[in-house]
Amino acid sequence: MSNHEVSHDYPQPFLGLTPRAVEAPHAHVLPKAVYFGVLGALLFLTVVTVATAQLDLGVFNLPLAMLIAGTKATLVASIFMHLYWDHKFNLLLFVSSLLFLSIFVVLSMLDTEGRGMVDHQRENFLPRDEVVEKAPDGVMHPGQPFGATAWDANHEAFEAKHPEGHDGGHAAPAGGHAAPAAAHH
Amino acid sequence: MSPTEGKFPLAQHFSDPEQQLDSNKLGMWLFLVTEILLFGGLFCAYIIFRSLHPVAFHECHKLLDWKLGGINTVVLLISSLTAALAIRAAQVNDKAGIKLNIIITILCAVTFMVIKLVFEWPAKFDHGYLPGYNFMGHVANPDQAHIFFGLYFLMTGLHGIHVVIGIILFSWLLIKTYKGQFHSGWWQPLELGGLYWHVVDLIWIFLFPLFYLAG
Repeated sequence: MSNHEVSHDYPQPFLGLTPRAVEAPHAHVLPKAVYFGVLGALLFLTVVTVATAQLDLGVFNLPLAMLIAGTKATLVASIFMHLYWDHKFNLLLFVSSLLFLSIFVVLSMLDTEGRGMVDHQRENFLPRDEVVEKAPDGVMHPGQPFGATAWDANHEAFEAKHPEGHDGGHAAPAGGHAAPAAAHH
Repeated sequence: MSPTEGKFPLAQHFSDPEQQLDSNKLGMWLFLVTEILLFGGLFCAYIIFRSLHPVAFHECHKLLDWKLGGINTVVLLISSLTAALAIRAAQVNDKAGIKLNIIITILCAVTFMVIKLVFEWPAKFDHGYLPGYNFMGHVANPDQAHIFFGLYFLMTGLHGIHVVIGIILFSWLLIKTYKGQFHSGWWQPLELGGLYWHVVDLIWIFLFPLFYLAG
């Protein structure tokens, strides 16, 4: 098999290896109308997203917005990115990344949503949306300790109930800790 | 007419063109999976903080300009179209079409960055809406607002860096197009650049409603 002379309009040798010219495989070409049609659908869905955000659907606003975004993403991925006609393995890769991302988010939220339920952090847990006033003008300033939160307000009360170091403080914690603490004796 | 005109450049370590095309595209998709996981981690942070502070996040949404965000969404969608059309133009040997579509893609990307960096962000800085620790805005709940703005600047900023990388990428592809390196026999660099650009667009498709639209 002979190598043709590499001309300026041909990919150059890479790492000293010259590619050889062969017949190109047949490409799958979509009509321009399909591409413009998808853009039209995407623009329409964008308008719908903005419009429905103005309505007050309560708890359904976010799922609806995500549903519309998901539809737009499906159109971009399947047609613009050609996944619909591609080897299914690439689609599997793409979907798997979303699957693993879901596992990541769900397991993290199982933790954060359950904070304070089984441990003595309940006293220190920053209540949702409670504003803790730290500065007279209510504005955080650079240099102000980051995390001026309920911990600052509550930690003195917490330390009074749970003295530093577990050697002397067995009696203090909530019931669930008494048994394992006693077992350490 | 050059003997390599319209031919596929088969690299020495591949046995046939299909294998080369498939391998390159698989490699690109693997990279795109890492991009999804990168932004996915940040989306996870957003989801958790939003569920912890729904009221504060709702109030902070209103401080963002959804019209500019909406224009940026439209701009990126158009650039996605032209990136795909550039690939199609190469497939049918429309050299002028490749150039035109790549140029429009780059112009849309630049427009996106200009709207973000010239119109959006300075307006936020003027109001004192700064990321995290530096937040100085006068809002009802600064302790939670700084989380929102920390996430906003980080996620849209990282996305903006990806847009700039896309501009550099497509400029490189434009140079190769002017050298005549893309035709019906070989257009895969355009395809891979397009895939990257579409993922950048996909991320914005989710960033826009989550940050700009208060449900």
